[in-house]
Amino acid sequence: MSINLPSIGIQDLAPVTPQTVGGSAPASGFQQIIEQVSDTLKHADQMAAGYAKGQVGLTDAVLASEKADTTFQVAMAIRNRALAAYQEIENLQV
Amino acid sequence: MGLDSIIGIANSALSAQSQRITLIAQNLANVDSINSPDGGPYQRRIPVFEPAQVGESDGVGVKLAEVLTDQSPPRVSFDPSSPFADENGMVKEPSVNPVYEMVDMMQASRSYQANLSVVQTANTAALKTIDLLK
Repeated sequence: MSINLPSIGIQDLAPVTPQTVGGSAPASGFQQIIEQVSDTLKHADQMAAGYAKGQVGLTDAVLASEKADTTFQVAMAIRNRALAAYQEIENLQV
Repeated sequence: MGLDSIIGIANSALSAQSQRITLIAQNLANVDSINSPDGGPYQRRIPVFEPAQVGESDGVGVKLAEVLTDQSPPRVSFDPSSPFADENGMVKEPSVNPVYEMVDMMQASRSYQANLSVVQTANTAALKTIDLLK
């Protein structure tokens, strides 16, 4: 019986090429997540405003806000993870 | 299938149940309406639900398919003084039974709560999963 361990290719550790934020470069990785979260939060905001105006049902507004909250928490958790990994590497003794 | 579709499905059920409660409110409010715009006493409204696609996900939610009117004969009471009485002095009243409506309302309310629990469970599961990252 053999155990297949996932291999970490050296190319995975290759330096990330810097990209201009907000420029014409395609959004990738974390930026995509941020945009997604931003859209979800905006949508929840619109739903809340719509409920105040009587255009949107209560459940739609509440659930949109709930979804936005969960999405935001996921993004925060990922951001904290990424930052922790970066700081760990930064603190490596050479 | 993820948090999105669970919440979408539960949301459709919450909307459907609140529409059902709206119809119950309408029935209860019109328990004494003997002269509706379409002639005769108010007819009790009955909601009919059917499975429905939710958004672009593959989840099947529920929606209010149509609102039927109760075809059972109206209650009649003897009141010769009423301007709506027929030649025998009988007045036709809506066939709404407040007891049925109350029981239906309890069912609708419980169903609403059950679907709220679904949302809560899905949310708790999602937050517990996020905790893995912390």
